[in-house]
Amino acid sequence: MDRREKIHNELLNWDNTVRKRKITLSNPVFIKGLALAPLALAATTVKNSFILSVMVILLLTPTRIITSLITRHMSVPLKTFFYPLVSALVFGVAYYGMYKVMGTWALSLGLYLPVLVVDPLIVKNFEKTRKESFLYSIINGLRNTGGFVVACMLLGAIRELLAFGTFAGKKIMAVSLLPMAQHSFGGFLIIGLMSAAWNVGVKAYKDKLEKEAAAYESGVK
Amino acid sequence: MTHTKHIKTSQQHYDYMLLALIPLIICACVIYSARVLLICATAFMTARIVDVATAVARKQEIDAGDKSSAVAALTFCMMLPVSVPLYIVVVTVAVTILVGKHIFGGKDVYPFNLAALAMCMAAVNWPEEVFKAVTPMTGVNFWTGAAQSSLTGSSQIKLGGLPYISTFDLLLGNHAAAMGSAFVLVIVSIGVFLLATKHITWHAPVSFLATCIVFSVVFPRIYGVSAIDSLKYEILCSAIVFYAVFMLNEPATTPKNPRAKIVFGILTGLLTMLFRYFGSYEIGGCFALLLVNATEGYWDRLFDKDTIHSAEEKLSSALKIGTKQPTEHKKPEPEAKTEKTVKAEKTSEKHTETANSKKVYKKEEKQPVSKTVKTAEKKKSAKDKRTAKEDALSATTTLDIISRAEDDIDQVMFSTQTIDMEEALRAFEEKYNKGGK
Repeated sequence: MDRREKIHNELLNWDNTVRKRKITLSNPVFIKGLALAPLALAATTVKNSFILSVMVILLLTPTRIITSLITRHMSVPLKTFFYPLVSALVFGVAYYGMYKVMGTWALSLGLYLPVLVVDPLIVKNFEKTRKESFLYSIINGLRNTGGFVVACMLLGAIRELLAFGTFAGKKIMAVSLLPMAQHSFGGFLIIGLMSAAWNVGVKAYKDKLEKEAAAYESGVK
Repeated sequence: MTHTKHIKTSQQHYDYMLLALIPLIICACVIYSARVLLICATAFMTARIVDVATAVARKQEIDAGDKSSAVAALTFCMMLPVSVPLYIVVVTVAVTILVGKHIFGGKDVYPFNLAALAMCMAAVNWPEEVFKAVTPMTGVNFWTGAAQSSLTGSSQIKLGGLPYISTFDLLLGNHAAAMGSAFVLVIVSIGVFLLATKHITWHAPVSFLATCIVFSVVFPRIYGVSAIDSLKYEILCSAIVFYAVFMLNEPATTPKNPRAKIVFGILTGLLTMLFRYFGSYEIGGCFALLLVNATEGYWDRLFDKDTIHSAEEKLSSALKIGTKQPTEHKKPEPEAKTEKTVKAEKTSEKHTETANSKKVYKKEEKQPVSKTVKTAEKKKSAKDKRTAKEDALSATTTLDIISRAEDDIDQVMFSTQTIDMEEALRAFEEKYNKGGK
């Protein structure tokens, strides 16, 4: 498929393109605004972000797969009940596994890790009336996980740099540029600014595609 | 028209505020060092760069006349110690202008006072650097800001002590404090100048200061001194006078209605004192102002609603009845007439009605009538006359209104050479309403 055809397809099925690209075009954090509370409260450093990311990797996709299998023939109200239940069960297993591998390091986030169990990032799918296939739940779960991990690690790195002048514990700057980045209100502020920048980026990408398509149409390229 | 006027007024306000900040900057340069200029220039440039960068990013025209960011940046600088590191100034001003101003829509529409927001942000981020006061007339390193620091009077009060600073020094600002907010005499003079030139109004500052004064006198927190001394230290050691003059009159963040301004000032004063007494930071005024800024629109709506409601009532009564309002102005209410006046009217009317009026009148007067009958008769005739008078007046004033309307419509028509009845009617209503008020 040449570039012209690719652009044409992307623009023609823009909604589908957006849905597929969970890391960039429909990032669950910066575009959809999911999992804001755990990120603003806990993702203050690269280390904390890593722990959050690992938990989401262990929690999100397995929860979606199991619930898609269990709730296939259920009505929406029952799905509402099953999603957090399955999520809590998976969390128990994941938390134990993390504790075994990482030791007390995994416990350093305290309450903010269990909060993920009822976060819309994990349980939002209960509201969908459409039945989710096994394969789709795996693909969509992995895409969402990828989007979250990218956003979480990026946010943790930026906040650590601004708040402490370090990156993954290594000193980079002599002064801390914005100490309030370590607090939750600073976290929300930075998430807001990053979301704005992300949206601008998405819009710029679409504009670029449209310009290219127009150029192909007019025969300049 | 009103919008243009508002913009013009707002621009003038910021021009004058910039002018008003110059004496403070000069005083700070004299008392501390030329580093004040460096800090102010850094803040000014940062604010301008952020404004321009945002305009470019949003693909908008760069507004060269917008001085709100510059005023906020310089006001913020006046609340900082002279030893403050420059990166703090740059980061705080940049984030404040970006988040506090441009995210909310930019010029004239931001809800929170930018200087107060910047100060709160700096206080939360770098409390050690922001609350470190420099001893006046001591050397300050121009680039690093290294200087001999000491406790501010406000901090001493907070710690339960008594600041031994003479009243004269307190008034002149010759004590360890922020670089521009301690020159009370200069600030008061600036305030008087701004009031005289009508670039600020008295409502918010006076109500704010009065609340702070009353609070300090009623609830003194300095142990072992008189109420007057407590008041002196509470007001003069802090930046309360500075807040009153420079921060409580920003057009974008303070109410427009005078009564709303008074409530705004009282609330800010009350919260300022509460923050000062029970809060962790010395800059209670900034936190208080941010909190009260959030309610600014409500007070305006509340008081404007009353004003609009009463105006609407007046207008509707004037338009529906047409005659009542001018009647009220021209003649006293019939109910308000005394018995004597009614009697006089009655007699005069009788006098004119008949040819041998005097005789009849005298005759009637002489006739012996019982008291009850006389009163009833008096009331009846008074009522009749009132109605007749009202009718006559209503007819006159209706005619008057119609002729005025015609005149106004003619004026509009002749001036524009077009027949726009709606416009003419609107102009007339406005004029009439203004006259009615």
